[in-house]
Formats: sequence, structure tokens, C-alpha cells
Amino acid sequence: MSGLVQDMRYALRTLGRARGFTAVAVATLALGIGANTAIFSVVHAVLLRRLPYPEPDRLVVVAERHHVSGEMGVAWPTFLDMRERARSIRPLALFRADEMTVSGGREPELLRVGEVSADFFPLLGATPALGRVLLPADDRPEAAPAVVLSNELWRTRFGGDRGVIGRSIRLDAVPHTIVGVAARGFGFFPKPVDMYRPIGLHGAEKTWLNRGNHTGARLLARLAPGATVAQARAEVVGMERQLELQYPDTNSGQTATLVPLDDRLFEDVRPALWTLLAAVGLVLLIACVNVAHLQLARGTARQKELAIRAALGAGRRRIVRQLVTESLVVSAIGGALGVVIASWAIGPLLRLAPSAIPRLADTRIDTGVLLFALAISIATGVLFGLAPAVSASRPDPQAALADAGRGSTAGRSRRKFRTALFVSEVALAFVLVIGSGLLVRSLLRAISVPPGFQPDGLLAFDVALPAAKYPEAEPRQRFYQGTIEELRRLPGVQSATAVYCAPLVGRCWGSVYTLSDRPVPRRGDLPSSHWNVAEPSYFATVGIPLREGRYPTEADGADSPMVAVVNESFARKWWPRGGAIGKRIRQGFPDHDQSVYEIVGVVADVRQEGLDVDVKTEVFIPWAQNPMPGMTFVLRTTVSPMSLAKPAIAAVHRVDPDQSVSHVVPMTEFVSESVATRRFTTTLLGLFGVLALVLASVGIYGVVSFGVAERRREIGIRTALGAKPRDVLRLVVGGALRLAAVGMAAGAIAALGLSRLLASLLFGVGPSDPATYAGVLLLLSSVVLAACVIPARGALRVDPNTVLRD
Amino acid sequence: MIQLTNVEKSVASRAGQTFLLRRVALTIEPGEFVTIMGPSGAGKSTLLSILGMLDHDWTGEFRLLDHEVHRMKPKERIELNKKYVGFVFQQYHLLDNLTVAENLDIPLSYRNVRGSERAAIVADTLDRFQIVGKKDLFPSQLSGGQQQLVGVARALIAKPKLLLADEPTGNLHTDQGREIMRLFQRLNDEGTTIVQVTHSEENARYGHRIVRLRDGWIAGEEVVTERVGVETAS
Repeated sequence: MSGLVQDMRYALRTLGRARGFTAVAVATLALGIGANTAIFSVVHAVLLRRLPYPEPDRLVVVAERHHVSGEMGVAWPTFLDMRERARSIRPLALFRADEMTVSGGREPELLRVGEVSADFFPLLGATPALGRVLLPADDRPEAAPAVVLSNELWRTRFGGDRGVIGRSIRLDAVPHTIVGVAARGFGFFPKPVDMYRPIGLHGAEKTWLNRGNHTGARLLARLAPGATVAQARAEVVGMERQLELQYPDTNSGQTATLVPLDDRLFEDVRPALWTLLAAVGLVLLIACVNVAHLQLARGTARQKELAIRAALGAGRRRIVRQLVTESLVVSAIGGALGVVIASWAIGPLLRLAPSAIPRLADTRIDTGVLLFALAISIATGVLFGLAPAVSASRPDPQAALADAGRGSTAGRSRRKFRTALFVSEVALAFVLVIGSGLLVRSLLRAISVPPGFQPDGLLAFDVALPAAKYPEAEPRQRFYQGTIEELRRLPGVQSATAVYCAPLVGRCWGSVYTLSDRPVPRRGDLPSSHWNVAEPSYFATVGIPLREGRYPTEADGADSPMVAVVNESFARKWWPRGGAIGKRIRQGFPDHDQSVYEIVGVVADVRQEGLDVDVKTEVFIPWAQNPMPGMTFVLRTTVSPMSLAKPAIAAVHRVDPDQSVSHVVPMTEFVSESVATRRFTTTLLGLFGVLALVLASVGIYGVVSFGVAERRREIGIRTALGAKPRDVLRLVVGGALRLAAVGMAAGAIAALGLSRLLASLLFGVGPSDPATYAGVLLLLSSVVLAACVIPARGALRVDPNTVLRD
Repeated sequence: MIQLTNVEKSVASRAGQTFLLRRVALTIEPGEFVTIMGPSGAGKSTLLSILGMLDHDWTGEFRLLDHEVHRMKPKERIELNKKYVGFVFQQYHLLDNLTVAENLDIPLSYRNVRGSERAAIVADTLDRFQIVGKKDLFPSQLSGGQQQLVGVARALIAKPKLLLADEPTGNLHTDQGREIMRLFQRLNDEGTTIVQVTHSEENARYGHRIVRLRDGWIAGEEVVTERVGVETAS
């Protein structure tokens, strides 16, 4: 122990004397460890922390799935059946998030409401901070509506008032009694909700009792003792098969999916986050290689000291221990600074990150993150310190007896090791920059995809009409018409319109349909499409071109023949040679009451679900023929869109003072939000790529400079014998480029293998995209050349006279 | 103490084998003060390296006390070196980033001596060599003579039976050199066997015997009749 303390004391003193080396090494490691710690803090908060529920690995989420239309919510009757029959999953709770207007008193406000069944809170082991949680008695259609407030809403809207229990609030114009407040920190929904309401209140609604109506709810359940995920999955699939046989009208072609809650919450973000952690790990490896280079060079310069120590009786292990202790001291200082850098970086990182990443707000430097920083600091110290230490620990004690005038030259093995480090640094940088390059090209491809409409100059806001106040089509239509007229009167508004499902938001509803000019397929094979509802001037306002026929007009009212406009994908799917106009679509199941629409127009495709998501078929119905309970209003403005935000809200309140308005944003934000995750990943990976290039160039500069210093005598002699400047340059730069070429070849092979792991993050670009590889090859070659400039100039300045006289 | 029989060292070169030492036979008794002399390239430092067990690449027989060094593996020789040998270098070879006290402590720490014991031994040695006042100074703050004094103290701190010195006064001026040689004589009088390499005839006369090397061979030996600093009976 005293030997170790002695080594540490000597290490600190030695490093204090070698300020240049220490500063560069510490700075390099601080950047690498800091970047890793920052990214790990996000990964830890989002992916690694145990979900805060009892036995979270035994919680599962069930959804229904149609083989054509994909995943859907669990229908209310199906939930009741599963709750009664399931054995491998117990208990079960239905949940979904909705938006409701809270009114009375303050300005009406749209809040996020979690609609949950009675077993929801017990399943998650949640206890209230005040009052009680929802009970089975609340979860019935005839029960008096109750709500449990989120702790956050209780503190912000109700001032943390402990007398809030028993108070009434109006949600969508319906009085609800506050029965409890959730515990601080309790959460479940990826986007936090403001309160919880019993989903069973819908239990008597006609649409909810329809088995074919999937209301966006999912099922949360706990695996029964001894049950496995596979067994539970088999059981729910079996139940769906039984329901398909029992209710062929509504359940044909349906099955169930069951995944662990953990997978469900994080499946979308996991690949991106692990990719970022791997990429930043590569940056740290490059940093380690850089510092290993520095250690090797220092080891060469310290040969005399190490030879003396060996002559005084130091064994190899002792010398290695001393040198590794020095490395660990450097990495400890670098690690401490790295934690400071990470704590600064977290703020900007969170601001850059898309809001869709769950639990992101919990990112902080906590014990787990500090332990990670400690572990990688130790690993780093051993990684960059051990090999140079072992290499330097074989000094020749006889060197201690010789004149110590000239510095000793590196042995052959040390030269080989330096070469290996140089090549591996170039290879690592190549892999990282390829990853960045592929993602950058994907992002550029994604943002260059035409969205299908003109987002500039458009302002959008959402309105969700409470069912209690607007139960029927006619009052809804009156509200919408009145609001449109008010909006069109606003100065600066060129045109005003509304649509149910705005572009790039991905909230369209799906429905099966049949075509009048085609045979009706089997139930299970019915085609499905996105269905949308739009005000007649929607297409012209947002700039969706007409391809055939006409747009809907004011004349297509509630009493007129039902018409529809389809997108190009729909028309191409069924009538590739044209002729969609005049065809009829029947929406819904064939043996139900189908609505029949005549196709009057074909419009250009719009990216409904994202710039990087394939376009689906879409059918637009005029809003007068199907007024929805919620719409997105869109204004084309002649002024800055956000300058019309307040006037637009005031216009809505002139029609209904109690109606809330939400998500008031310029439509250009829809475009940028649709690539937010991609942009986040690409920006970070791009930064890491730049960091890797900077570190690699510093490392290459160091190695080439050291090589020139080592070969100074040789260069002097060659010059004396007639070598021209270009011969010297060929010696110095040519050697570096040859090694770099080997590194890039190795990097290219590694990148070809590893980039397949990025495939799920790429768009419009393959993992072995030749243009990217060629570009990176050129870039890295330029970096190598640039790093050689100063050492090359040093080599050209070697004076043969001076060298030969030494 | 030391017996060398037919010790040879050669290195491979383009011209074939080049001998640095040829058929060296040498006996050194305990308590002797032997000087090895010869022109540059004679093999003096090579012989000293072999005696100090810093060089393992030689043939022949080498006995140190009761140990047959020629039969030992390099690791065993290093242990033997630690036990019996101290080395003084021409270039002093003090560790620049350690104080005088720490330089003295280094050989003890490599011999697994406990911390408290080491502190006591270092203190005694500083006292013995009258360099207590310099214990916290770094080598760059000392004169050449003082540095060599510390080098000698370091070589002796582990109480070796054999002290090897390679041109110990080569970098010192005359007065400093004499101080060091008088110190060696005192140590030898106290029982330490000393083998030194030197070019200086005057330094050679501090010892008992001179062994002359030429081209790797032992060219001759002579006993020093008029030792410096020793009164001879008239």
C-alpha cells in the first residue's frame, strides 16, 4: 500500500513537471470521457433505470392487430372478454391518453387526460399523495365522474391546496369530482398526463360497444405468477382467434400482440440511443489511442530514468505498476473534468433532443452515471497506459552506464506498436465518420422529401369539441363554420380552413372499405386506408395540387350527395391507368351500414406520417358531410404566422368563450418535428465525427512529428547526399499516407460490417453507400495531409551540417 | 569474493563475431579495492556490467561468494545483484524528479523494506554522508560533487558487499574527485569490496591492485605499492 501511495505521489510530481503532456492528455481524455458520460446519462435515465413499478419486468402491453391495417387499440368489448377469461395475465387495465378542455374560472385549457380502468393504479403499485386512486365503483358508465389529479397539475393549477379533494372541475363541459392526487414522480404515459379519469365512463357509448371500433386504448397487464411472456402471448392470440370465430363481422383478420412494457416504451428510441453510445465510445477509443501515443513517446524519452530504476533493482512489474499508476492519475483527472463537461453538456443535449423520448427529463448526473464515469476512467487509464508501460518496462540497464548525452531511439517493438496505434486510430475515425456521413445523407434525403404541401406562411391550431356540449353533427358544424368566418375576417389572413388529420402529425383514422367496381373480398382481406375530413378550401390553402377532377366545394354540404377526394396513391393502387373519377367507395364493413362516396377528385400525395415514412392511401371527405369532434384549423397568412396566434384564439372565443385552443404553431414546425429524432441522432453523431477527426488529426500530427524527430539524422544525411525537398516530403508524408491507407482500408471493412447495424436509422441511403465511403476517404486523406504539414516543414528545415556534426 | 574463469562476450556483426572480452580470468578477494584500466574500447565497462549482473549475454564462469552466477537465470541474477551489489555511475544517474532523500529511498523500496525502516535507514545515510541539509533538494540544485556523493550514498544504502564504480570522478573536477576517492578508501577500510573503472592513474593508486585490459584481454595486473592516502612503512 505504501508503495502505491509512493507511486501516486511520484506520479503527481512527474505529471506536474511534464505540463505539456499532462495538459494535452487530460484535455483529450476529458473530452472523450465527458462526451461518454453525457450520452450515458441519457441512456441511463431513459433505458437502463428500472421502471418505477413493482416487478416491472412482469408488466406487458397488449394491442390488437389487423393484418392489413396494422396495430390498433383494444376494443372495449375485447378488453371485457380478456379481463374475464385471461389466466396468464392478471390483473388487466385498459388505458389511453386523450385531450379534454377544462373550463370554468380561468381561461379554458386543453389538458392531457389519462383514461384508465380501475386496476391501473394497483397494477403499477401507485398510492395517492392525497385522497384516493380510482376504484372499480368509479369505473362504470353510471358512476359520477371522478378524476385523480397529477401531482404536477395539483401544484401548478391548484397551488398544492390540500383542500382540493371533493372539489368539482368541468372537463369537456361535464362536472368531475376530484377524488385524489397522484404521488409526486408518478407517471406512466410517455407524454405526461395532467389527470386520470375512469375509462369505464365510456362503457355505455354506442361507438365503444362496437367491437369494430378500436378507440386507441391499449391493455396493460401483469404476468400471472409462473407465467412467461410466450405463454401469455399464446393465450391472447388464442383468445383473439376465438373472438374472430365468434364475431366474424368485426374481428376477422385480427390478432393480438403482447410485448413487455419495457420494449413497448423504448422500442422506438433504443436503436438511436445505443448507436449514439457506441459512437461516442469510439470517440473515447480514439482519445485513448492519442494518449497512448503520447505515453509511448514519453516512455522513449524516459528510457534513461527507467533504466536507472531497473539498475537500482526495480523489477518489470514494479516499473509497469508505476507507469500505470501515472496513467490512472491522468485518467482520473481527465475523468473528473469529463464529469464537469458532461454536466454542462446535459442542458444543451436535452434541448436538442426530441420531446418524444420518454423519461428524458429525468436525465441527470446521478450515482449510476458517476460510477460509469469512474469505470471508464479506470478502463481508459489501463487501456492507454498498460501497453506503453509494458513496452517501456524493458529498459536496457546498460544504457544507464553509457553516456546519457543522446536520447535513446525507440526499439523495433515500440515502433511496431506506434504503427499499430496510428493505423487503428485512422480506422476508428473512418468508422465513426462513415456512420456520421450515412446519417447526414439520410437526414438530407429526409428533409428534401417534398411534404406534399406548402408549409411556409401557415399557422395551425387544434380544437377538440367536448362531446357533452357538441354531441351531434349540426352544433359542431355551426361552431366550425362560425370559427372559419371569424378567422377569415382577421387582417393578415389570406385564407382559413380546417382538417381532421393535419399533415406530418400521423393521427389519421384508418378504416376498411370496398369499391363499387370491384368484387367484395373476404372480411379478413378488406383493404384499409387513412380517412381524413377537410374543409373545402383546405387543399388550396395548404397548397396540395389537384391532379384530376375537382376539389370539394361549399356545395358539397350535409344534404348533398356524398363525395370524396382521394390521393394519388389511392388512385394509382386501384386505377393505375386513370379513371378514378366517378368511382364509388364504401367505407366500413360490407354488411354494416356503409357510407358511400363518389370520387370527385384526385390530389397529390401528402406525407401524413413523416417525411421519411412511405405515403399511405388517403381518402378526404368534406367536413360538412362528417363533422368530427376535433379539427386542426389552418390559416395561410400574409404576415408572420405566430403574430396571428392571439387574434386566432380570440376569434375562436368569439364563437365559444369556453372552447380551449391548443398547439398553436407555424406549420413549418410540423416539418421539423417530423424529423426531430433523426436530426437529434444525426447532429450528435456528426459532432462525434468532427471530434473524431480533430482527435485523429492531433494524433497523426503527434506521430508524424515524433517520426521526423527520430529520423532527423537520417533526413540530414539523405539531404547531404543529394535528396531534394520532394524526396524528403515523400519520406515523411508518403509514409504517413501509406499507413493511413492501411487504416482506412481496415476502417472501411469494419464500417461495412458495422453500418448494417445503422440500417434502421437510414433513409434513402444504404449502409454501403459508395458516395459516402468515397467522400469520407477524401476527407480523411485531407485530414492526414493537413496533419502532416507542420512536421513536413520541420523535416525540410533539418540542416545536414548541424546533424552530421552532432 | 569474485571469481571469473574464461569469461567472454562477443557481438555479431557483418564481419562475423566481434569479441568485447576474451578469456577473462580474474579473482577478487573480499575487502580488495581493484581498479580496472585500459584504453577506450578495451572492455572495461563491459566487464563491470557483467560483474554487476546488468549484462546477461556472456559465456564462461562467474562465481560471486558461493553463487554460481553462470548457472543462474537472469531473474535470479537480478535478485543476487539486489542483495550484494551497489553501483556508482559516471553520470551520477540520479532521478531528476526525486529529492535527495527520495533518491536514497528508491533502492530500499525495490528491496521490499518496510516504510518505517526505510525512513530510518535514509536518515542514517544522510547523516553518515553529511548531506542532511540537502535531503529536500533536487539533483539540479546540487553541484557535480554533491550529486556523485548522493550517487555513492544511494549505491551503499542497501549495504552491499560489493561496490562497482564506473568512472566515478569522470565528470568532476580534481578536488571533488579526490573527495570521492578518499570516501571510497574509507568505505574499503570499513570492509566494502570495491571495483572501479577509471582512466586516472592517480585514482588507481587509491586501490590495492590494477587490472589492465586491452582489446578485451587482460593484459596485466599490478599491485599498487604506493597507495594514495596510505602511509607506507619506511
